[in-house]
Amino acid sequence: MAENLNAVNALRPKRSIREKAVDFFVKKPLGATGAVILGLLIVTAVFADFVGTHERDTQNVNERLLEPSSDHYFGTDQYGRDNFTRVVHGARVSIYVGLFSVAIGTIFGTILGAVSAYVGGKFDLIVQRIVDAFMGFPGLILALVLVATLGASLTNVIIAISVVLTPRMTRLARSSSLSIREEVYVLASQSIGASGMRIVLRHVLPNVMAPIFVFATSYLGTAIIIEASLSFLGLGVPPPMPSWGLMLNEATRGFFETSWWLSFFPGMALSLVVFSFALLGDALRDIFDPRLRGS
Amino acid sequence: MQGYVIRRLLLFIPTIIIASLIIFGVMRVIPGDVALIILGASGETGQFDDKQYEALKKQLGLNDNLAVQYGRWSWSMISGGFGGRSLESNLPIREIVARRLPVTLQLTFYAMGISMLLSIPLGVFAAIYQDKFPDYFVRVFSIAGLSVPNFYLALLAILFLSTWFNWTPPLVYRNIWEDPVDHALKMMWPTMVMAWGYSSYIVRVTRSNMLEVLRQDYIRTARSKGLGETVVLWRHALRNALIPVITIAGIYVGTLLGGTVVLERIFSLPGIGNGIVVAATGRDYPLVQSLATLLVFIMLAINLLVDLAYLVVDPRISYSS
Repeated sequence: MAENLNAVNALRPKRSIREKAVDFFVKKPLGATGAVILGLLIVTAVFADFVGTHERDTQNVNERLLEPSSDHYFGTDQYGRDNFTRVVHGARVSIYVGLFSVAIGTIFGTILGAVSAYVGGKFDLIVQRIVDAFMGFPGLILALVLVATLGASLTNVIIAISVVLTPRMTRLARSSSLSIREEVYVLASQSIGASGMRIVLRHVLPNVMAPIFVFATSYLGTAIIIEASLSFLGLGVPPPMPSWGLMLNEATRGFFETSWWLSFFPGMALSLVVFSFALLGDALRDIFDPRLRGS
Repeated sequence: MQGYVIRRLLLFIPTIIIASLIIFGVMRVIPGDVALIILGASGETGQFDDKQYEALKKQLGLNDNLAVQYGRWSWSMISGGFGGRSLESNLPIREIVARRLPVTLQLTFYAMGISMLLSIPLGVFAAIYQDKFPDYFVRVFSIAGLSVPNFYLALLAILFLSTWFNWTPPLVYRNIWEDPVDHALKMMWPTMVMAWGYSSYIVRVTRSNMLEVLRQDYIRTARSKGLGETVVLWRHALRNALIPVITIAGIYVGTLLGGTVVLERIFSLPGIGNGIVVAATGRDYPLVQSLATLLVFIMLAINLLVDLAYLVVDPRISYSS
């Protein structure tokens, strides 16, 4: 049996990463578009100092509220700061908050969910009731309450968003783990005396990674929207850091109707990012979980 | 069926208790002393005397142990006092809630109602005309609704209306029985912005479930025994496709309620969400605590209603009883 499988695998042509990438583009053009936009965005975020055409926070009274031009592609704001440069730097804040909060929430949620499913019993019951309670919060309200008490800062926004994500991830990891717990290889492992820790780490976790990875990708868009919403409400990233949400907030103060470029560009950037994560998330879901296809 | 209702109702109680403990806990684990933070924020120079500090601690009830504090607060929430007085305005929180709650509930239910009326037929049409023009229209409508954050959409709406039509919403919120026209004009745009976002989720899931149900054997049976297409689509197919739609509608209630915070802010509606932001900005912790708990209660209550709606919609349950 094993020999036959090896023979079959040997016949199957080995595909390089490049071939896999090309395959992804052909089969999932929308998802690939999302991936390309996000790739560009991450490059922009990392090299924001080089992409930006002006100093990020330098104010210039003579250049207040200029319309978009060849010098200031996206115009200037009420302090004479270059809007294009600030939108570019805003990508850095969004990506930074998105990646860190989703990473933290995913790690905690996955471990808690897998352990809860594996241990079962009273522990599982208590964890699930707590998860229920956390999921009873509208995500933005929970984040808002946390930031309001911890204080508005970049770190606290990340903490708040990961707290919002953790129970959702716990629920997903738990339900995926429950089905794996019944698999024969887990029983086999138990029967040769493997510890619970080892089973969770070596058998359960690696096998629940696919749905978790898909959910984490699509949640990045949500995380970025929560950050932008908090900053828009004045409870997120503190000024003068250029967050898209904060820029939209500043754009509404008094000259909103005369200077359309101040709200238009940060909002478009935000929508583009969320749109790309949605496309990529859908494509990944189709690939990893054919059951959910098209929903 | 009764068993299901009772179990579902019983689950509601521990959930709201744990949620209130979470909010209560968050308000107590603030690094440092709440009273100090409040005084530091309100004092001009950060200076204050001990008397003021002690008085505030007494007002906040911080001298008692945590269990007593929680007991007092939760009893006040249940008995309709909503946790005492606001720190900033010194008004009873009960009055603030009485003024703000109707606005948020109206906004939420308008948006949910319009979403359902709009998105279920749209989803069905998209499924009937799969890969034709109506389907493409619906798909673009929903992907745009999913991508554009509601506060940006709201800003664009205001910008567009004022630039092209020179029209701005009425400045002050009026109750529906006070001035129905003003009320409608004020609520129309936030409702539409919210409904677009919420509909996008529902349209998607209605469409995909209709597509799946239309391929089932019992639909073929219904057609082959000569039933009209209208009856097949709207009674046999839609009824079965609606169950997952209800699930999704429940899941995204949280997004909808979160959206009220931002939209009430933009359209200056005096609702709970707007109140929570004002309270959070002003470090009015008792008010934040009570309003946040109230929003969680609303969300859990809507989720409960959604779960009970399964009983109405799911034909397997209603046929058996």
